Amino acid sequence: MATTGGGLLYLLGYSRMREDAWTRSPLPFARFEHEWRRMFSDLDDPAVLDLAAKALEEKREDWQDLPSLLPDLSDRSFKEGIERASARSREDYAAGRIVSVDNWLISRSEAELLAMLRTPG
Amino acid sequence: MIRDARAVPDGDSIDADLCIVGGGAAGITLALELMNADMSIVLLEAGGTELDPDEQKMYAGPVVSDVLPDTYLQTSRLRQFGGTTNHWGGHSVVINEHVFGSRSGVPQGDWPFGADELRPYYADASRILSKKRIRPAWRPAIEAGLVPMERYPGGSDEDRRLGRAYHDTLKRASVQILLHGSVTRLHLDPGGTRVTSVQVQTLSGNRFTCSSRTFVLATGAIENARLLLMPTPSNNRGLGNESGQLGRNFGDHLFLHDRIIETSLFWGGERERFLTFDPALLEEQAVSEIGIMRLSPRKATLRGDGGAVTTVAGLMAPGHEARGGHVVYYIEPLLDADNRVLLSDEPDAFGQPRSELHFRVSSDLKAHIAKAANLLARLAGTHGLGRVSLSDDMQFRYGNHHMSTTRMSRSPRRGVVDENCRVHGMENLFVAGSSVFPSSGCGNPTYPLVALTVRLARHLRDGISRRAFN
Repeated sequence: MATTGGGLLYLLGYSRMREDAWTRSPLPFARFEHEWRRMFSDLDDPAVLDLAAKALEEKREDWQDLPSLLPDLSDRSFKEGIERASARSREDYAAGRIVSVDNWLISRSEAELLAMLRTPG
Repeated sequence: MIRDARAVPDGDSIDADLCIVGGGAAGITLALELMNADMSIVLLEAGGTELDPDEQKMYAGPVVSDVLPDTYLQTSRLRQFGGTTNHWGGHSVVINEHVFGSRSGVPQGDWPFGADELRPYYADASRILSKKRIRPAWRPAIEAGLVPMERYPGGSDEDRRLGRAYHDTLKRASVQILLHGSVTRLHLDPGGTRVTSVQVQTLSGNRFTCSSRTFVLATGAIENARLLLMPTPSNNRGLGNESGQLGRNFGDHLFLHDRIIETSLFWGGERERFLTFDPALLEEQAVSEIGIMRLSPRKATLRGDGGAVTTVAGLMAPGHEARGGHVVYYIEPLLDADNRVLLSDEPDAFGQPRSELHFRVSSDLKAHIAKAANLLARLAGTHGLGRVSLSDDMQFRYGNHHMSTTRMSRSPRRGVVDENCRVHGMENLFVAGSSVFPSSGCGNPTYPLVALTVRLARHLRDGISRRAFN
């Protein structure tokens, strides 16, 4: 988790939350939103911010509980984590370290991320 | 002049300097290119200006295939003036330069000449097929090892239905066009090296012959093979068949739909959405040419198809929104001698053997596709373009692009026609159309086949005027 930044896994966790009706650590949406915006506040990448904003809006309507990954919201190395993960993934692609996951041809490191995402926390 | 062959008196004989068999893209191109030359021309077309169900049924025949439907022979081509351009979608591309050369992915697929030989004729093909001008290709993906296909500029529906587009032009010309007349037999001289006449029959029952100094078969890759395979008194293997290749290596472009996630300007503009790989990469992987076309890009979501992968891809390539979409892989056929046109035991209404088609997807071809998809995944991932999928159960579709049954080669030991499309061993018999393609690349063939036919027309014009084929 530390290698990619907790924030990354948190964002990735959205698809799992939606799929598995993940319910842990009850928390009001307002607090979640605050933490969410704080997590992205030091980022300057508009695409990531846009993605985060859309994810937040998507979550607003069916918010129930805070994910168990809440402690990682304070991870300040979010951007660095993404960059490290991205670099590693590109190295995998360039070296041909590609695997098929649900018919998607993705790098080995991305496949590992997805496996973590799908492992019950 | 356009006449109805059903009105030609039974037993009549027609004579011309050039007899073109077939009024599709190739036949009409020949007629247009030669109509002002100093020669008499007859064009024989088995269909009429409108599609006639009884005439179309003449194309039916057995199909042995794991991917093509039983009705393929009857539905994938049209027996009508204008031929298959009557249902052509209007997509086509220039054949890429590397396809003409020696390639590891398509052994024996080399052409007897290079791309430069064909290049000058695309302008004429463009003039014939469309009133639009060719636009320069757009090339931003080259750094990643992908190159845009150079596309035929596209024309209106009226432009590309050649039978309708040129009906009035040819009606006014000195070319004699006979509709509803099917060629059922080639008559040879005693030496078996010259065609002296062709037998023509109609469904109304009349028969006549057409004598000529030069003949061109322009009836499509299935019918060209069928006519050449017909036994003659001096040759029961078929004309130009010293190599045993006649009718073999039948190719059609198979294609696969799959998913893609774009995280960059993978394609750029809408018109530039048909890409292939840099030839060096294809050679490195030893695969045939495989094209990639984008369909219907749409906004990505965090759920649904590829939701989690879309999220990952978006984060790994920041700067662009991840968008999900569909992609089509266009696959160049491999040369497979078992994929072939044969003469069926089943006779048609004229008592002639129907075509029989054998076509299977080989494990080699599937392996090529898997390698190409992995290569695309590698390039797209390395360069931050996106993510690619390839389904385990390859659900093929087909393009109705009939090719390579009478392949071109300098030597009669390797092919059926020579570099000028003359049937090996014959003095005055030529073949026009994509049946002569030694290999095809991944793109739709109409544009290059018309260019190649313009080249043939120049050769015939010079040769007939010099009486070189007499």
